[in-house]
Amino acid sequence: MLDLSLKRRTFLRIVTAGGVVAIAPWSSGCGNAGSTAEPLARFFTAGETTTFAALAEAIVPEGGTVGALGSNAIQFIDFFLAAFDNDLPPIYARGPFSGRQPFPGEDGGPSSAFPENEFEVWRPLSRLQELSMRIELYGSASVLNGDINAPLVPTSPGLRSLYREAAKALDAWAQAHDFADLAAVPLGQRLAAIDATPTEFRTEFVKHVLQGMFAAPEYGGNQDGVAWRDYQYDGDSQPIGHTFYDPATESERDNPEKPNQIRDPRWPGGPLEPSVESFIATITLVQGGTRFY
Amino acid sequence: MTALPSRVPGVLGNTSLSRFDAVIIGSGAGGGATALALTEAGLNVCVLEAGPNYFQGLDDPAPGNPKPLFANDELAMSSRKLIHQQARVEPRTFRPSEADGKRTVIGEVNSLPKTVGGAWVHADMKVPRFQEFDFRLGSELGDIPGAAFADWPLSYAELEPFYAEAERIGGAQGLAGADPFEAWRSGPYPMPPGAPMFLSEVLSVGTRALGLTAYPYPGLQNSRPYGGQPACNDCGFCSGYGCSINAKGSVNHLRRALLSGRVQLRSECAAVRLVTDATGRTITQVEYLDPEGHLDNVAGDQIFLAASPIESVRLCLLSDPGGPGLGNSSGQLGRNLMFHHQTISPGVYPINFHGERGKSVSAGFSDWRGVPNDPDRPLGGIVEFGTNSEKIADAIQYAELGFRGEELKSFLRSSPFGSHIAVLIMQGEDAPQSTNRIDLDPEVRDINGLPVPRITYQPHAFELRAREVYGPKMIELHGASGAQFAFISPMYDGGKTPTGRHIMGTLRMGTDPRLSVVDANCRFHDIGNLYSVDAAPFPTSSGYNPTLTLQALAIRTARAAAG
Repeated sequence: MLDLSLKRRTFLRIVTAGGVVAIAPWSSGCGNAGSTAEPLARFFTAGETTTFAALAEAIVPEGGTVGALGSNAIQFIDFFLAAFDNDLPPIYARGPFSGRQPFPGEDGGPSSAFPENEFEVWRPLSRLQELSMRIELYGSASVLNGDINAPLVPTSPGLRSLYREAAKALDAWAQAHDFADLAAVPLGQRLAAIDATPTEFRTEFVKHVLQGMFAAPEYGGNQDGVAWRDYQYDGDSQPIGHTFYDPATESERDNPEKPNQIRDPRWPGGPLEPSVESFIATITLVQGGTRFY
Repeated sequence: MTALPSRVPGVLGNTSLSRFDAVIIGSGAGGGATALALTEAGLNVCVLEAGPNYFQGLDDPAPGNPKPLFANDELAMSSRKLIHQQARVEPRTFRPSEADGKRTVIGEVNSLPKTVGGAWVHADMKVPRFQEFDFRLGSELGDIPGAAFADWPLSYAELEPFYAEAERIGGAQGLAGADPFEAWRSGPYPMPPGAPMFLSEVLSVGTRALGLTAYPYPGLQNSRPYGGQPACNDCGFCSGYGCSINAKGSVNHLRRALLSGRVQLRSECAAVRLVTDATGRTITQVEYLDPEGHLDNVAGDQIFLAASPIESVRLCLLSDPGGPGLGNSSGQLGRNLMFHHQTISPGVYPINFHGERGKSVSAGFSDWRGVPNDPDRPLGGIVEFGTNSEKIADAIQYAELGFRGEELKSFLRSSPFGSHIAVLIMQGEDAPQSTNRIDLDPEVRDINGLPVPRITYQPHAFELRAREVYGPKMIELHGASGAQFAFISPMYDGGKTPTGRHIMGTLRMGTDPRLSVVDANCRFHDIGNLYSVDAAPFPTSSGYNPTLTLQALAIRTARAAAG
């Protein structure tokens, strides 16, 4: 049986300032020397961090494979909401390379040289990108013409306001159910609290948690690429890629660690988990498709 | 010649140019090909591009340039749409038909990237050619109620040299003769096919079992070092992504044009109005919003629209407020909008296809392109072998189905619609219909206060017939390839927008000014110095990815315009 939840003491160690805050967005374990990036601005209070972490843990729990907490998804959200409090908003990593993968050598295979981590370099935004992101974070009234299509397009309060209000609603729900805060609510009961928040928040929060789990680590989540590894995903592969071209022989060959042309013996896949298989069977039936076995 | 590269922020190429023989609106596949052909004819060109530039050193002749600032970064490119239109500030609207009211959707509707290089930056560079009969479907099919099939005013043979040129400059890989249905070619592909994806091998089993012929998908990813660019290393972030190592031919034409010293490219400059002289038959200047949103203008003797079939029509309409739109004496402006009708069949297999490796699509077949007037082989389109390479999108789709907690984790681990999915996509012929069109939404504005384009579109029975015939065979193919489950994805309905991003038509080409907007050389019948150089002139859509054809047509148009 998997351990479905971190123990409360572990949970608190991770989400409070001494834990999450001290963890660099990306601690390179590869060839790159590690992060030299400036610390990024934050939006959440310590209490809000605790509340949202508790909710995120219920959405993607720990155990077996990493969940929302272990992958630092809340830090990802925190950075995003405070994006414009930095000199350059950490919205679009520039790249092209993260330094996790080496340059190719003379025969196309990996060399010992690694690029700098330019995922830690943030792009300046174009005028329209900035207007769009400011509307998303600060609401449609925050920029000139942001509400130009109201009421055809409903006005938006912005994510920062949405999160701040949701934190209050979640804690109020916990207290109404005789808990000190949401983190004190047993894991199995926490999801019910989300009904106390607006629909728009629920949709955005779940999306942000999953983005935080699986986006490049420089954005603040997916700590050390843990979610990519646990869910058998390569993540960024440049500049080495999955096929090596050898100019001497004018031929290409698969990266033996991550082959492109054959079934990967390390991650071959296999039958779906029973509950997933059952769902796909239903979808297939509803869509008039075929189950072959 | 002025020293390159430019030192002026946002401006590439020769910054000393102040008078232009031509202005091109849009720097994508059509705009880039046009720019190169015009500069080769000795013309000085200004290119206006609405989006930002992410090709560092694009106008720097030093070896190793350009250095694209694109990464294997799903969050930036896909979730946050780095190079796409931002629907919050530049929405579009949609409705299936006039009977559905003013609109059913406000937001993102069939948007393509706005960036230097255009949609050719995010494409996975599939470049099949059309077949010979594709240029004469009006004659082949005759009258079909509700549809407006028409012959192209040129033949495949006339376009073939330009196809070859576009393949050579872009750097195409492929295997001549591997597709039994391909049109004749004057020469081989510049490069042999690159490494096939594992997925292609699995689906080839079923393809053979059904008597179909899979072949390496022609693409503009280098399979060998070519033109100073490296070979593709199958990073997996191809469809929807700019290439981190510049192994795609997205901006090859544009770079060559910039290095000629005859081009000035102004990025983040969105054209908003074509200004005519008193006769209304000549464009005198193009007004645009500069990177700060201020109005500016540029003049040129000839104007080339390469902003996409949707945005080019919008510009013609914005330029004639209260009127029918520039160049619209035929009443055809904006009409006959086509997308390929995509029939999509997912198959779920007990296999990890690791879709984050490879070129997104490395094989397909053309058997279901069909034969004109054969009821048993209706005109569908090329079929692509695809899968899912994105982890964030994969995860979110399970959450959107309502799964949370341990149930959600089961889906994240099993990844039935991610790592375990193989997808067959047929790019089906989309019958042109006069009622499928672009106009301006009467109420919705962009953040600059300008009316946004409204898309009115619904499918015709023609393409639904192909879907009906080939859909079940897709499921059969999955079964023969080892799938556990297979079905056909629901077609867009209930006011939803079409899935296709191959946008064609709206400025139909033809010899009769009463029935078409541009002539056989893609010049507006009504305006002597205005041309269309993307997929807008296409009279029909064919059943193949359109970009190589639009590039070939753009080169031909530019040569004719330059005399």
